[in-house]
Amino acid sequence: MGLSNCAPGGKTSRESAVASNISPVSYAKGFKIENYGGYRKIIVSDPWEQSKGIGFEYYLVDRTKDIPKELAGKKVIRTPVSRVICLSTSHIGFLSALHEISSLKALSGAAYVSNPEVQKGISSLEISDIGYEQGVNYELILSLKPDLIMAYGVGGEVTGFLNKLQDLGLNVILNGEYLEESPLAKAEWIKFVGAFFNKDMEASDYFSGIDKNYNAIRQKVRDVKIHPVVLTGLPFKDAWWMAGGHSNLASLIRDAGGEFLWKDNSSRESFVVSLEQVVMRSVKADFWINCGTVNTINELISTDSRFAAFPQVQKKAIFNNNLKMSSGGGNDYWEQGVVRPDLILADLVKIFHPECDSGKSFNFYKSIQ
Amino acid sequence: MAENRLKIFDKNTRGYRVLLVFALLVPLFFLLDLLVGSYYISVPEILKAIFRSENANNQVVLIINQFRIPKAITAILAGAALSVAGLQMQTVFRNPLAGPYILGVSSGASLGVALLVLGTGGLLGGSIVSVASSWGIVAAAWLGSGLILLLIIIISARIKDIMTILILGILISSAISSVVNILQYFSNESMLKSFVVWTMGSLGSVTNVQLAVLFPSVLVGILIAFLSSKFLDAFLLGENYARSMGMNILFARMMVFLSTAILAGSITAFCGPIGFIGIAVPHIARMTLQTAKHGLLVPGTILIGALMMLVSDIISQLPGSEATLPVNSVTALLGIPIVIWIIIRNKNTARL
Repeated sequence: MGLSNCAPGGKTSRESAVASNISPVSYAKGFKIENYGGYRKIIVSDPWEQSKGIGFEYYLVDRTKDIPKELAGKKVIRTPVSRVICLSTSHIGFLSALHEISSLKALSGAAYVSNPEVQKGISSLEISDIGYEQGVNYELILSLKPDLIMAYGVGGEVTGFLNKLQDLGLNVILNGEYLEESPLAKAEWIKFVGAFFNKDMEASDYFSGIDKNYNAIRQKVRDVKIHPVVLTGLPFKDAWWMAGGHSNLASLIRDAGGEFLWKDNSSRESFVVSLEQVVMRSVKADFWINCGTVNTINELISTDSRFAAFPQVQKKAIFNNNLKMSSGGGNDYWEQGVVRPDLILADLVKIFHPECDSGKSFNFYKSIQ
Repeated sequence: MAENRLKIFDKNTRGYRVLLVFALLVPLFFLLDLLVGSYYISVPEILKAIFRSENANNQVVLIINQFRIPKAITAILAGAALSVAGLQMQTVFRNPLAGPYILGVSSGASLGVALLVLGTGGLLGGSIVSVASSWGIVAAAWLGSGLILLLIIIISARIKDIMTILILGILISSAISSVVNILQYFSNESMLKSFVVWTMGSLGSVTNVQLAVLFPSVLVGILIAFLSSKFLDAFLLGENYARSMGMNILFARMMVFLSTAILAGSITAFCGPIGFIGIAVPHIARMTLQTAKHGLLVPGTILIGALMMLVSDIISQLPGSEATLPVNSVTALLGIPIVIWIIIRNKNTARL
């Protein structure tokens, strides 16, 4: 765990007394959990895009225990939390995996939720919608008396939002799951979320299971000779936002024995390429996946009639990740998929290497006909 | 004003010569626009594709026929249409800052598109359609700008004072923009991105089939503009003067509004709002043609507008890089220095 060089400044004797029963974080780069017996310290680093050297520390103290003296002035959160507000629907995936949906009191974007339990809570008004970003309803948040608000930052401007909530005396934490490059690293954030519910062991066990499944599937296609080339995304007008060569999706394609068409790109974030570039490159693509919200080839062609000339359209080699859409337009791929990268990987293997397929049906993908 | 009156009835040989130069430059830049794109294709290969040579690369043929040719034609249409619309508005309102969107045509179009793309968003949950098809967007934008046109025509039939119409147009635009803002406010990130991309303008998404609709629309708009040239000359001398010459002001005004709405509305429907060309080009035309006569200014703005749009498109392709720039930013960055130069050279814009 390399604790000795973590906490800055002078350490008290208690802080160095490590009694760790927490498994180390193995994939995720964005957070660390350190156990000091009387409390746990979570460090979240660089929690938004382009952030460098920015860190947040959260000190988790059990409700039944006294707050240790050395934590005076630090950001202390009493655990387990039981009234949680999530600002991203992807956080719901973590809560669901930890069986903590009952702790969810409010979220952002209720219309886009896929989880049936949360949908039920929304319709029975047990779960509220607090609105988006600058439109967040602070009075509603206060009235819900949350003991934890899980936020995420798209950029540094989120600090204003954090400060405002902190001024109101609320516990707000940043979840940087979406910034991780690999799907396993994303899923590993369940350990981060689990810590606030005192469910460190459950989270760790859950992740080990996912890790094992994921690697077993990856193993199946390790020695495949042919790596089909994969095109992703859908343009709007003539701007095509392509997933970065180091993005989560690029990792999934690689692990499923495929070759991402833009694998030479070195960014994690998506980037814009021109339609011309895609037309020229996509000749060698065997598959086209994750094409927005389209359900049929006709819908795809209706967005731009020139897609009819794409080889993937002619070969019907198009698969979209929108098998499980909620009525409001939410996609379970972004919700449950965050904690179940093994299911996404299984789908992709089924698409790219039907010869290695275990015969199970698709989880998130469907063939676009 | 007396000077202007003289200019209108002046035989302008310089103007015709300048027109000829622009008429030669447009096809030249049209060809250049076909040769330069974001994906590098060598000139012989492009020529092979254009002339349907048997050993032409299939992908290159696809790029040229389905992407670059329709894009270059769209650039010409958009540049011509927006510039003529801008010229008409500057003349009718006698305001150098008027442009094709002053009547609210683009905000009407953006309301239509916002309703389609952003849907009722967080208000009712989800978008109206699962996939915003390209024709759906065109229809929504057209419907939006058509409604605004209707409103403007009803207003202009009742209200005599042109300045009141201008103010009402601006007020209606602002009201509609606020509604669009509310829709944006309540939509999620991916919908918002789609909408923002639409507002940045794009020439490359117009397909050959869509051109078959866009082309005749622009042609009709431009034809009306040509027919209204005489009205426009009269407007320049003031509505009272025009009336004293026996002109039916209401009819003339309506013709000009109709033409502007058709031109700006069609381009906005297919390409999104493209700014600045419509304001800058009429000034460049007056400057280079040295005339206030619309018989010359209309063809002049058509040619200069087409030329500027072709140049903007070539720049926005960022030849040699994978990405492209939104054409809207290029037109502004290109147009603003030109207008600044004109203003500084002329010291004032009173010549309008």
